[in-house]
Order: sequence, then structure tokens, then C-alpha cells
Amino acid sequence: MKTCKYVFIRCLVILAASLAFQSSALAAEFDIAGRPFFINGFIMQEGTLGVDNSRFHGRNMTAYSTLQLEWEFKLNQHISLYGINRLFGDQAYNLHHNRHWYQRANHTKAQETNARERMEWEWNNYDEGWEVFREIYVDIFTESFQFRIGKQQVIWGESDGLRLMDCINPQDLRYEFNLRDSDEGYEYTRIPLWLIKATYFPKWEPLGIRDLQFEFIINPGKTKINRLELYESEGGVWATETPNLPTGVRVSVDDKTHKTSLDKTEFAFRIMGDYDGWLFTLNAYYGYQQENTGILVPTGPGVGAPWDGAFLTLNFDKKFYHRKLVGFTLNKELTAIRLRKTTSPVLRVEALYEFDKPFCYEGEHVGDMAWTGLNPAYSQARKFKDQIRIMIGYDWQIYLRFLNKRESFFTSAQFFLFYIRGKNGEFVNAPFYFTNKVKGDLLPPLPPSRDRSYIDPWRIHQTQKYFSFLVNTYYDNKRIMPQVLFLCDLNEKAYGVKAKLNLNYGSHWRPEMGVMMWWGDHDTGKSFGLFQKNRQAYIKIKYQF
Amino acid sequence: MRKILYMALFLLTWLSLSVFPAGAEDLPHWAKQWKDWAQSTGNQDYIEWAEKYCGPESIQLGKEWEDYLGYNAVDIVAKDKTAPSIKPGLVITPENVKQYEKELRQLFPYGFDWEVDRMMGTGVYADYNYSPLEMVIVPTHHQWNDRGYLEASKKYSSTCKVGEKDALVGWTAGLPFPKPKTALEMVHNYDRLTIMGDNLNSMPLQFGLYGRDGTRERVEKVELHWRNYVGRIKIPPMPEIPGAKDIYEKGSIVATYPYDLKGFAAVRTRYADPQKEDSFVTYIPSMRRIRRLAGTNTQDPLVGSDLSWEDWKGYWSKISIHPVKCRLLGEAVVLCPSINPKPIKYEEKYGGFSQRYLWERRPVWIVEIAYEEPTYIYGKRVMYIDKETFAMQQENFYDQKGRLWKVWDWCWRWNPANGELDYWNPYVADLINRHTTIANHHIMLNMPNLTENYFNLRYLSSKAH
Repeated sequence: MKTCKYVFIRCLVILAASLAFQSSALAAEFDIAGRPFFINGFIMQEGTLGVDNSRFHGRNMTAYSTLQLEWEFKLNQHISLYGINRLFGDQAYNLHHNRHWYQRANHTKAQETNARERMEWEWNNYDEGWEVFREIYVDIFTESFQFRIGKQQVIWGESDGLRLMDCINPQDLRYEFNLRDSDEGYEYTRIPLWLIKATYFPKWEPLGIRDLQFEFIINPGKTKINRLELYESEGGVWATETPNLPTGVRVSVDDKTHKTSLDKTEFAFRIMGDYDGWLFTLNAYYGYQQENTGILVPTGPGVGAPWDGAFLTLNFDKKFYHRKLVGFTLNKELTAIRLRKTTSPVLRVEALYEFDKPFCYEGEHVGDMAWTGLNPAYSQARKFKDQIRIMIGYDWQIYLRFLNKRESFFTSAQFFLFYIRGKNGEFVNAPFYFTNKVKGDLLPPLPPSRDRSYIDPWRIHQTQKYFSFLVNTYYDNKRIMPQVLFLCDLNEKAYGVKAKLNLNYGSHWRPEMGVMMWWGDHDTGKSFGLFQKNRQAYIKIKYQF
Repeated sequence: MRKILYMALFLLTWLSLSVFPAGAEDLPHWAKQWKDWAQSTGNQDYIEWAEKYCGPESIQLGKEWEDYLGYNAVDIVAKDKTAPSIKPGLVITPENVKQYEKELRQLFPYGFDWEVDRMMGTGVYADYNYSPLEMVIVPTHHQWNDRGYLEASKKYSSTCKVGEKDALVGWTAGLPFPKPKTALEMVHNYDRLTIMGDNLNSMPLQFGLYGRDGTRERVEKVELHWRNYVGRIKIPPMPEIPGAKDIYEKGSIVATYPYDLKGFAAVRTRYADPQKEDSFVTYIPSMRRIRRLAGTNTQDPLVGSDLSWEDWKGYWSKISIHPVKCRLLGEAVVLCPSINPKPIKYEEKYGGFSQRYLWERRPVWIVEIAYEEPTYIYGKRVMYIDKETFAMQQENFYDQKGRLWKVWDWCWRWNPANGELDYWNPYVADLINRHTTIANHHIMLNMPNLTENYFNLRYLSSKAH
């Protein structure tokens, strides 16, 4: 199997190289058994430089390499086969593992520096090579139906950045996190799933609704969760850091991921249509939670691990409960509003109601959480509450001719509001709980201590508010695109900024450079503060063919 | 018996007139002069074209249009004595253009002599001679549009008028103003010709983008479909598609090249209500989502080209939304790209990417469209509008400061037997930013199987990956 995998990978590389350097330099189209076969893709190398952070400041943090081939084979007018093959990995370990600064930067309490070797290629230890087939599915078209069967991505919702209704596919967050490709739709980080998707296009137009379609999706039991390594267990720079704990204490989390089984089947249903310019969807989903900041269920303390100097381990299982939600999206151009008689904003609304969403429960007051880890019988570690999530936003292309004579500035603002119904007591995002101050002590403050200088978890407020704003424009016939994305967590007063410049000269080379910055409470890992350590400048060089 | 004989003779005569090609001696003078010239050149391409142009169906349709309009271009041009050296058979290239410069400029009045500068590298093309041209001069054709337009114009034009906010009122199909008296009526005529048919495919439509050094910097390819929902002239149902009376037309595209554009798909709907903005629903591959974009955003360039939605087919602006003052600057006989029976020839020549196509003298109206909004992308446009086909031939775009910004020409493909007219290669140069777009169309018109499935969310869903 391993040999086959590497033979296949080498074939991919050779194929990509020959496509990239063929004389016509256009995407390739072949005939296979008299039927058209299309193939194109890209090769991309990225490099990042730590900015204003303690561990990688001025040093290379990551070196992502990607080779991606996209192909389509049309068997006939009704059936086609589509696939994406991707080789993706972080070569930073290979490049720097002998260097002192690299070893120092990657060494953590929980992990040795060579853990980053596991990040070399994305299929390590997880999907046994199938990651190379990032997507592969068959499309079947009939007069009134479209079926898509295979490994695929299904994207719902209207929100950019924060994912509300986009709940079908989980995300791989080991290499990249919220700012990495959030402005590009999470194309690179979403984890494709084996799904059956059926879409029905009726001919009728009830109540004047045009373009009506019904979509039904089944995941027949091969569920997955978001991949975000807790406590830098794979050593990547995007993994969460080891939380602050008293001297000699550590936390161990066991991922209780799902096993493939028919009784784990997930279902999703969507209706889409256009009513008088209102593009709408009605959605329903029944599946599993995917978020890594999910539920930590205490399983009792254990003895420490001698290699990291701990004498006490607090053990948790990470559990994933059912996810049940209904929601809708709306999309409409508000032509009654016009800026200087030019363009109108496009309204985007997304709202969902999630039933029985699990939350880590802290008790009536903050101060109990540390001790729940010592008590496997503690039954109050989680609460199930209904949550409403709403996004209201607009896209508006605005002309500022004094800054750009030819092109508009695309502006997009979104306001997010999450509300937990019937919340009582304190809910927290585990596991960030203690401040740095606790590190110097042998024991954390004992209950009923409410000493904020020690205990300051990332709370989940009853009402959470976020805001995002994106602006970009083009110069020189769309060959230069500057863009700025701003994110704000209004509850935690945490911020993120991604500023980038894309250069689109010619048909093949697509360089991009930019910076990603975060501001927040890094001490207890609140919101964007969790990623403050990853402030970086980056450059991507892509050759597409 | 005699009666039967007369009847048989009459039938025979009628049959011979309608079935067999007209003899050269029976050809109208506008056809004969072209055919004679083609024979005189000995050029097989011209001879073949002349045969088609002089076929019985062509002659019949040409006569009907001439009768309807009351004139033909050949007669109008014959009266014009400007620039006698520019004669059929002459090939003007960047190498000999100097010799004909003065006369050529006379044939491009009202600021269109950038066509001369384009070949000479002077004026607005100084240091920017990057779209060299070979002008092959041919005799003027009497041209006509589709038979469907002729019949629909006869049937429905009497109800048309210009209403509130200069909007067209009472239009059903065909040319609203076959005998236009004002510039505004000429603009409405061209607007309602839409794509010169009921539907269209361009598979692919290729944009070649040329930088200031003349090299082709990028190629972008899309598949384009277009469909009229009202004003239909030849593909049933006519004149409108039941249940879609509120829609003028829909267009859909899917980008196929390069990789970073590939998969972008969009459906644009233009509504009949003059006050209603277009709907623009897209599939964005990077997001893998179907999303509505602003239909009001018609002024941004399309992909990396020098065209915006306002410039689609040369002019696709809603004057009820972007108010204008239209002015007829005059009438003239000018030099225009002609009918090109063969695809345009592109080649690396004269230090650039040279095009070679046929040109002829045409009678045109010169129309100025001045925009009243100071925020509109252009200050004004000036167009040559053909007096026979009612199509825009060449166009100048001026910015709000009055500077010549962009220029446009294109040449035509034509089936004289039924009048189907479509365009080969819009050429658009941005003279301020020194950038050029040459769109290479592969158009098929009036296909019976281009259904609604190419123009709805289902289409976008089918293109989504």
C-alpha cells in the first residue's frame, strides 16, 4: 500500500511538471476513449516569517508546499467524473530542524521539537494516503435531478470568515487557521467527506418562486471532526499552546473521534429559490459537532509524565455530541439604496437555530473547572442549550474615483450575533483557564477562590458579537489587487487583520504577499489572542497551469 | 387548353425566378458591382463570397429591406467623392499607410482617425503601436439584418415611442424606430437588436489582453450563452417566452481559463422594467457558493479586460438608470470594418499582434451619448451607427474630463441569405492605460435547443464543484 502511494505521488508530480511546462502552457484537454478529459492545477510554495512574537520573530515559521491537480472526465452528456489530487505539507522541519533557533522555538512542555516532522505531508497518521485524493466524485445529470456521489465539499451559508451554516464539512486547522484562507472561502482547509448529494429541480414556480431546487445530502456514517491539535501535540505553529497550569501539572486530552458506522449517518436538507430578487435557502442539518473547542469530559487524574516534569495529569475525553439545526439565508440587492447614483449594496443574512448545543459548564461561578479534572464523576461538566446565530452583512462596490479611476472598491461588512437561550451559570471555552501567574505556583488557588489574577477563562457569553470588514480593489487591469480584512471579537476586544497584495501578471504566475496580525489576551488564550503567537508576514508563489 | 398553357408558363417562370440563381444580368446593381469586382480580382475567397451574396434568397431579402428603408448603402456611398484613392483592392498596412494618411483621415471623421494612428503609431497611439492592422479595402455591400427583424419591425414598430425618462415604450419586437429621426431613437434601435438574434452561444469567447509593450500578456476564456425572452423574431415561442414577460434577456457565462478564473459562472438577467436593475447571480469557485452580486455594478471591467457590462456589445447601458443626452452629430460615409466571410487573421507582424480584415465605406449616423451623472465612468460616447443594419460599427469613449479613453471597432460575419449578423472580434484599446483587449468570438446564433437550463440556478449548480 505504501509503495503504491508513493508511486502514485511520483506520477502526480511528473504529470504536473509536464502540464506546467508544455509549450502551449494552457490547461490540457485530452481524449480518452473518444471522451474529453480536462486537467489543470497549480504548484505553490509559501513561506512565513514571524513578526513581533517571541518564538519565531524574524524566523521562518512555516514552509507550505502544494501541488494540486484538478481533472474532469466526461463520460457522456449526463455523467462525469471529477477529482482533485493534492500533495500538501509543511517543509519547515526538513529545512530547519538542525538549527538551534528552530529547536528552541518548537520545543514545548508537551512535545519534542521533532514532532513537527509529522507535519511534512498532510496524510501522515490520519487518512492513510487517501488525502491525496482530496476530492473524487461522479456527477449524474438527468432532466430533473443531479446526483453527486463521492468525496466532496458542500458549502452552505452566506457568511464569510465565521462559519455558521457551513456545517457539512469540517476543517483541517493544523496548518492554517482563521485568517489563512477565510477570505478565500476556506477552500484549502475544508475536509472533504464521502457524501451522496441529490438535487431536484422541479419545473413549477409556486407562489412566483423561480429556480426552485431541493437538495438532500447524506453522509453514510463516515463522519469527521475539525483537526486542531491541542497543546501542540503535533508541534505545528497553528496548534494551540499548552495551557497555563501550576508547576508539575499537565492536561491530557483524548480525542474520541467517530468510527465509521451506519448509525453515525448524517443528514442535511436544503431548499433554494428566488422570490422577486430574494435569493433564499431553508436549511436543516442532523449530524455531529465538529468544533475542537468542544466538550472536555473529565475522566479522572493520573500520574504525571516524567519527560515533561509533571507529577499530575488531568485527563479529559473530547466528546462530540449531535448537532441539530435549522436555518435560512437571504441574499438581495437593495436597489433602493444607491451611493451617488452608482451601485447598491447586496444584503446577506444568515440565521440558524441550533438545538441542544453542548457547552463546557463552569458552575454558578468561575472557579470550579480545575477541580472537575480530578473528578470523573462530575456530571456538570457540560450543559445543553439552544443557540441562535445570526449574521447580517452587505457587499457594496463603491467607486472612489480619486483613488481608483477604473475600478470600484469592494467592501464587505458582517455583524455576527450569537445568543444562548436560557443560559445560567458560566460557560467557558476549554481549556484556557489560568493566567501566567499560576505557573509559578505549586497549586492553583483553591476553591472558592475567585482570584481574577489567577483565574480568567475564555468565557462564552450569553450574547456574543463579532464584526468583520473586508475591502479590496484592482489596479492595472486586475493585475494588482490589494486587500485588507479586519476581524473583531466585540466581547473579548480581540482583533485580527490580514492585509495582502496579489499580483496577477500573465496567465500563470500568481504571487501573493501579506501580513496576518492578531491582538487579544494571549495570556489565557482568549479569542484571537490564541493566535497572537502566529503574527507573521508571508509570501506565496503560485504557478498555475 | 390555352388557359392551362398560360398557367404552366406562369408557373415555370415563377419557379425559374425563385429556385434558380439569378443570372448576373438580373442582379440588382448593388450586387452586380460586388460580383464583378470579385471576378476581377480572381480571388477565390471573394468569388465564393459574391456567389453567396448574390444568391436568390439574399437578393430577395436585400430588396425587401431596401424597399422597407427606402435606400441602400451602395447608392449613398456612390454619391460620396471623398478620398478617391482609397479604392477596393487596396491593402493599407503600417508600411504604406503614410501614403494614404490624409485621405484616410477624411474617412474617419468625428474623432475616429485613431484608426490611422493605430497603424502609424502617431497621435493617441504614439509609442503605442501595438495593434497593427492591415486594412483590405473591398466594395461597399448593401447589407441587411435578419428577416425576423424586418417582419417584426413592419408588424410592431408603429406602437413604439420614447416615454418617461427616455425609456422605450410600446415595443414588442424588431426595430422600434426603423426610420429614426433622433439620436435617442437610434440608440434604442441598437439596444433592442441585442445580440442580433434570439439566442447565442460563443464557445469559447476568448479575451486576449495586451500590455503596453504589445505582447499578449494574458488569455482568458469563457463560454457564453445569451437568450432573449421578449422581442423574439425567429425561434418559437415568439414574440415572447410565456411567463417571462418581465425579462428582456439573460446571459450566462462560465470561465474556463486560466486556473484562477476557471469555474466562475454567472447568470445575468436584464428586466423589461426600465427602472429595475439587473439581477446578477454567480457561482464563485473559491467560495464554492452561489451568491448574488450587485446588478447595479455595471461599470467595473469584466475580468481583466477593457470592457465593462456597460460596454457589452459596444453599448448595453440602461438610459433610464444612467440618464443621457443623445445628440445626432451628423451623417457621413466612413470607412468601417466590413463583412468578413473568413475568420480574422492574426499574426505576429510589424512588431505587434497584427490583424487583417476587410473594410468598406459605409453610410453611418454619428451619435453622441453624453452622460448626465458626474459619477458615471464615462463622460460621453460617440458611435458610428450603420444606416442599413442599425448596428454600432465603431465607438469612442471619453472620460469625465473629455479625454479620449477607449476606442472600439469590430468586424462582422453575415449570412446574407437570412440576414443573420454577428460579430467576430471586438477590438478595444484603452489609450490612457495603454492596454488592449481583443475578444475572439465563436458565435452560433438562433439555436433551437438553448433552453432555460442554461440561464438559471440549475445551470450554476451544474457548474459548481
